[in-house]
Amino acid sequence: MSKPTCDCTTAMAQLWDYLDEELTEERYEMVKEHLANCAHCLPHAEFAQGFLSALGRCRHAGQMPEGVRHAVMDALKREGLV
Amino acid sequence: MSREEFDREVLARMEDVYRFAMSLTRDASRAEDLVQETYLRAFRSWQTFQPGSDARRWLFTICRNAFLRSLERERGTMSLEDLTGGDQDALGSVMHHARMVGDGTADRLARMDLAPALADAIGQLNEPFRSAVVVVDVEGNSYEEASEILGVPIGTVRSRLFRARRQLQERLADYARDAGFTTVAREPVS
Repeated sequence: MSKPTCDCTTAMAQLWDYLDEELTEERYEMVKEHLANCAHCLPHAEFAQGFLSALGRCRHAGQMPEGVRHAVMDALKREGLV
Repeated sequence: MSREEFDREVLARMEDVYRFAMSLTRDASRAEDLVQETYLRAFRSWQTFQPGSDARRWLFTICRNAFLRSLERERGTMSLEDLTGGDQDALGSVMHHARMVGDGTADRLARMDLAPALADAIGQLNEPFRSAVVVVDVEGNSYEEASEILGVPIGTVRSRLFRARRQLQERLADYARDAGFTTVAREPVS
């Protein structure tokens, strides 16, 4: 049996799901195969991948100030919750 | 689960909650208030926590709901638009990128560190789109986990997420234009 294939529109409609690894294995392979062989779609996928990587780097990297923990504990104590 | 075990488990997650609150508010003072509100609510309703479930996810849900309430207080009202048509949003995002490829913006953006511009752009997103991006793209949760945190079906998570990504890409195009990379007019949002 030959592998299922898809056209550009189908591949691009599933691009985010593909990059987020939210597709079924069969669909994932189908989009992967398409991207490997389509000079038109590949740049979109590469840009989208870079875009998502940059979003991942937006995660707050600083430490929580120790004063926050004290403030939370004080508030919980005031309310009689701890 | 005993009360002591609950206390230990949720208090150990405070760093995670603070980071999540910072991603939502982009402001240290507001994040601190949000963490405090989250823990007050969590401790008041500790009996609703299911033993064995993910404490971090449970706290994120409380934190996000508290964030929405704080926005409601600030704005008086807000519109939570339930969107459908995730595939259309996904295609719309790609089509927007296609325009950026066409005018050379994408090439220039690809050579830059987009994270600082994106961090600003996330702060400008309205709800419910900001939460969708923060929960999935910034915090790295799956669609299923995001569905639980945001309290909406997975289809709604996808739809909001793809719409948010499209808005962020549009803001990147603005960023490129403002930086003098391109003079192409901004495409209207459809």
